[in-house]
Amino acid sequence: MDPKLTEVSQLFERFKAACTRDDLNTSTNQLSQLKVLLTGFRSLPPLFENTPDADKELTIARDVYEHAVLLSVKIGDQEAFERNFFQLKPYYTDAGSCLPQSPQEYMILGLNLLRLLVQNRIAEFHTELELLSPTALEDPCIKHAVELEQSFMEGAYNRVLSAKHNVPYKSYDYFMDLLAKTVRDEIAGCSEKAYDYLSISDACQVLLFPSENELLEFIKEEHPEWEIKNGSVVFQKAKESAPCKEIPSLQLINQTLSYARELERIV
Amino acid sequence: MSTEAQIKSTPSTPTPCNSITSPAEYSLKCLMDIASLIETGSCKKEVRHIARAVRLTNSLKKKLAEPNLLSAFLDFALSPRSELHNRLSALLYHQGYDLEMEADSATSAPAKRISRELEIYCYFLMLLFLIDQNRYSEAKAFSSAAVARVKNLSRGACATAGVLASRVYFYYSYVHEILDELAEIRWNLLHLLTFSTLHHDDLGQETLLNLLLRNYLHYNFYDQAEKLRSKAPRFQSHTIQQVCRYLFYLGKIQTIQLKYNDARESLLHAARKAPVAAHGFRVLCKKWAVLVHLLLGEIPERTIFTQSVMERDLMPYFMLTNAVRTGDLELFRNVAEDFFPFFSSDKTYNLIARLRHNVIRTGLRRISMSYSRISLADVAEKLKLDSANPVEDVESIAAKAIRDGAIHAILDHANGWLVSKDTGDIYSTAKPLDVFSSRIASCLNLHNEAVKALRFPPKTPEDKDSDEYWIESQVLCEELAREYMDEDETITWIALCISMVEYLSVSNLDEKKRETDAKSQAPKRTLTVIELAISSSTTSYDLQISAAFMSQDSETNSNSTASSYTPTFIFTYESLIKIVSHIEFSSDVLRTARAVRLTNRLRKNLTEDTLIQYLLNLVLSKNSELNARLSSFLIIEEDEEADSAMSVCTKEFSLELEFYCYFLVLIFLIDQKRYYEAKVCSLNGIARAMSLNMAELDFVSVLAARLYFYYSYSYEASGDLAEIRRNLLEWYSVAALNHDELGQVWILLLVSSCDPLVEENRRKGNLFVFLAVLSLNLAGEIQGLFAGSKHFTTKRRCCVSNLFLN
Repeated sequence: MDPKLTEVSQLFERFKAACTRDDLNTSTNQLSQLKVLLTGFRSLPPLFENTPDADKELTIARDVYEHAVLLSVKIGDQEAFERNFFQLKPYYTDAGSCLPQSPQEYMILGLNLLRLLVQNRIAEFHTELELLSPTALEDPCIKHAVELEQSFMEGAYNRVLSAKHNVPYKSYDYFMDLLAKTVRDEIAGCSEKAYDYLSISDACQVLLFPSENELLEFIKEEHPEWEIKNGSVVFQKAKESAPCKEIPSLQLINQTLSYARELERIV
Repeated sequence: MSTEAQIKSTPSTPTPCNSITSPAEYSLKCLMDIASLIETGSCKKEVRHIARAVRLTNSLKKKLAEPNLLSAFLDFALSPRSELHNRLSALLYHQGYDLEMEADSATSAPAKRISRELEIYCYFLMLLFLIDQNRYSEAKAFSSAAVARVKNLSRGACATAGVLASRVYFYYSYVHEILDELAEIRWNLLHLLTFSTLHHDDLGQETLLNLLLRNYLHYNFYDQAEKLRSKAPRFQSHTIQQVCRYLFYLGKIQTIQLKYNDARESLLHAARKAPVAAHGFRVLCKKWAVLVHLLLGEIPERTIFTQSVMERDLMPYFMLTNAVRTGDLELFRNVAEDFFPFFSSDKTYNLIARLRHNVIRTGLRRISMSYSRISLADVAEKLKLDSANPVEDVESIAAKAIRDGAIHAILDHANGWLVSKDTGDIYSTAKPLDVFSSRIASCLNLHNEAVKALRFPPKTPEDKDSDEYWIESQVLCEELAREYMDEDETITWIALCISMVEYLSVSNLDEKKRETDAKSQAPKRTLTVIELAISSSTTSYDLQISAAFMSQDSETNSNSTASSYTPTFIFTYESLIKIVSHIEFSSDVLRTARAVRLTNRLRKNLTEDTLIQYLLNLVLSKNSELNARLSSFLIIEEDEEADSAMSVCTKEFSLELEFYCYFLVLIFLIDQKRYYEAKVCSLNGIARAMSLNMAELDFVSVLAARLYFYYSYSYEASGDLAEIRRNLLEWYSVAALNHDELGQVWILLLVSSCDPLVEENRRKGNLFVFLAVLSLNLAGEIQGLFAGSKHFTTKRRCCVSNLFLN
């Protein structure tokens, strides 16, 4: 066996151990070392040279990047997640033909979908979705993310939150928590348009707060324009932007002038 | 169809009708016509010939399978033992026919030199043949070879070969798509795109960009496709096919990336611009357009689905639309499941999954319109949501719909009601105005685009032949020339001239059939332009070379005409006319000075009295006193025809022109060594100059100065210099009074240089010279007079100071 490969695999074992121990500092350092070592292999993307150990090298590199992705979730670093994911992606798409499928592939793809959802990058979410095969779409991890997106678009926020309880992997928790925050903001936005008023206890329920204090805290910080009257939250103020009766004269003048100009051009 | 093809192909080379006996022979004839069309296109560099050849070939496509047709054509088009011929016929071989015998007898001719266009055309034809025969693997290998050949083309051939090359690219990609090996050629296509970009092959770039987009979208690489698309330049497109494809791919990408509004526009345009024959493409466009409409929350018109040609293809989408329209979630689910294979083969299933929330929205809207107040539980039941906790779901769904403005209602949480609000009077808001104005805007936009899209037929070569065309282009060039003259951008000007010379010489070669006299016009006209060019910048070596070349050309050409005049005569005459018009054009000292310089250049050509006479007749009115006087210096045989041809009306001519005529006659006389006449003529001219007032003299000072000089010169030549000193001094005083600095300097020079009694007048002369320098400096500094002819005066200044030193 190639000594370089041995070195990488030994370091990788130690890195995995550090990961399971949740020793974040050590594992981050070891990851950087690993990435540097991986650059020595010529069989990896983008070169894809057909070296004798190509299969092994590709497999180990893929494993390294998969762990890197999971590590970045643990640290809670979304940018690192994105970087690592993009490094990993060629192993799924371009090297997919020469490697056996990774058991973690769908889990990581699902995580990425979730990340895009949390960051509200819906266009990219759908672009990624198009790349998946029908079998991939059947996978629970992917399905989870797809359903979340659907519920989110529909407005069935309850379902989004209840999905939190049946996540397929522990690593999903990080993004689910972030999602819950996004969902609350969405609900708040919808509520102030949809309700005239809500009693405080109802508001707690709708906005998914466990206690009234937290609700009041939230209102104070995020929506100071909401009024609290007679034990209920009144959204009147936010709605006061009634249509004004004023004639938009400047706009009208501009329009009329432009019509005149265009007509002149025609006639 | 066959007769049509015949009609189409006849104009370039008339087909002898009697020789056509069988369809096979007829097809061969057509192919030969096409080949000659390509040859014409390649030598004339006319893209449209090649484009037409490609179109004609497409109509012949079905007949290519006929035995012996292609081999006969290859024998015709390629030299029989060339490598290309061997390779192409090797591919034909297993059809089984006796090629050898025929080929041997028919082609003992030496190897033909075939154009690159024809070579690529052979590749293209062969590719078509192989694909039609379903010999895909051979076609694949062959297409790669063809693409490699196209890549080797040099730069010059690209405009014309580009049309054929783009077809080769297309079939190259097509074959790989059939064999499902598109991913392999992606790199190659990217290389080709670089190649065609570097060669400014717009059509190639467009085609390749579309092929690449297709390639990416085939594997659902929307991200990469969008990145490539957004970075590629957009072309003023040449072919409608490529535009349609581009718009369709663009629409697809935009749909996936949720830019539904843009996508709707792109898909709509793609469907509209697609030719009627492209049925499959239009159906595909419609499918996507329907989905985009639905995703936008609009219901597509029913007429889309009822068009008889598309009814069957669009049926699943019609069902889908129906489900969305009624807001029936269950129906929607059923449709999506029933037609799953259909949708997934269209690659639209993911989009349909996105539609779910539109269905819910529509259902909700129907309910809120129908009921003024309804409990959330009932809503949940009507919507048939399949969830564990329907009422809560409905509440938040309704809340979101209210926020997005989809329904006009309010929620009552305590009672669990959805209360619809009265729809206010919509006409009291600005909404109708907005809608109306957006419609007007789109109508106006449509009109403007239609105007922009109007096409005018390009100038046909027939037009080029006509004199009008020539005169027009000539006038245009000269106008341009004048404009550039005024500015100091000699470089631009030279470039313009060179390109014009090239253009005219090239077109001259082309127009072999033109009348010989018309032909001799072109180089001459060019010469006049070049003459102008040279006058503006004497350093342009290139131009002088081309001028020499062209004048040679013009000589040979006019020799063939029956004209009694030598080409130099005609040339000189034209140049003089040019100069005259130059002077007449504006009263600018600069121009006059240039005219004088230009005339000096032509001086050696001024050898015939008739030439001058003609010019005088042209410039001055025939009966004028001046004409009579000047003509009296010339030796003219009576020419009745010229007399009758001239118009009798008196012409107005400017002062400059008058003096220019004096000047011209004078230099002519001096060159002819007719000094006596020259003396009289110059005296006449100077006397006229003396009679002018200050302002008038200002215009003609340059010419007057020449008159002084030649006056003195003619006396010097005859050795009577002493006689004129008195005259010169007299004129000096007049010039000084008139503030004619140039005249003063000249006269001073003449006085001081030609006076034989130098010793005696030295001091006097010195004084004069001193005065002259002083006045010159004053003039230069105070007024900046003669700003243009500064170096002119400085030259004189040098002379003056030299004299002073002597």
